[in-house]
Amino acid sequence: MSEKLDPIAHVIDVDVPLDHLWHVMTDAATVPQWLGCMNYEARLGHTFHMQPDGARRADGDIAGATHCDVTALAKPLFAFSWYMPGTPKTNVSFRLSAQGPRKTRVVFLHDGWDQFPAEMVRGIRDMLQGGWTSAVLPNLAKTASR
Amino acid sequence: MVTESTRKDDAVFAALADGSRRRILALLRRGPAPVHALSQQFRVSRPAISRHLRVLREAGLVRAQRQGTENVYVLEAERLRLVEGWLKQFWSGKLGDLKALAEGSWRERKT
Repeated sequence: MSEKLDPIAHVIDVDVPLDHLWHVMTDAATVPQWLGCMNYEARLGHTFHMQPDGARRADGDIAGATHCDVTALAKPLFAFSWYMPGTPKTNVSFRLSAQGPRKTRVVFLHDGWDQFPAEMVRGIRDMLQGGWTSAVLPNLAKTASR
Repeated sequence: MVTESTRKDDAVFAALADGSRRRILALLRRGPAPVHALSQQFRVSRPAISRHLRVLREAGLVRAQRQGTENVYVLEAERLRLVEGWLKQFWSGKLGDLKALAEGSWRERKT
């Protein structure tokens, strides 16, 4: 059994024009709504946080949060790094392409896992300790059943 | 429908929810260890450690290997597959939220 993770990839079509999706996907007013993150600013190099623990998020506490540095913010590519401090940075990207006047495809990729075969285990465990299981999974179930 | 794999996933997250069990996994990451070595590290009774190990074993996170007169516990690399599945699910939830937000706000804008 391999000790490595494969890149996570998703493709999803959204029934809106590319410009509208770009705005919702990257604007400081809407990013927290869909990404559930803290301290986001639409600025290259800015660091924001993904706090899985709902109580800590409400308090503005970033303990246990995943850190994200904005690495690309030029239509059609939005990308940020995704890491726990002290572990290698993995890469998250969302690339848009127009499929029609009101249809836009999002190609999502989360890679960079090959940087840490063994260290990864620790990073993932830290992540789970932060309360992902208690806070994120119920949200996921809710989203999936909508 | 509750499948066998769903039950196993639930067991993994339940197993990881406990701090002592996460510490056991952290220790096993350094290499296989017998029960007595683990209970010495934790300064708790062997039966208590054995209970935690049983939960971890049932979740597929560790396996027991007979070595001489006692069981040695080994971390299961397969759990990484689960983490991968979990990340996939995590991001597909976010993308679903993005789609719902974008399509909802587009409809609102037009009316």
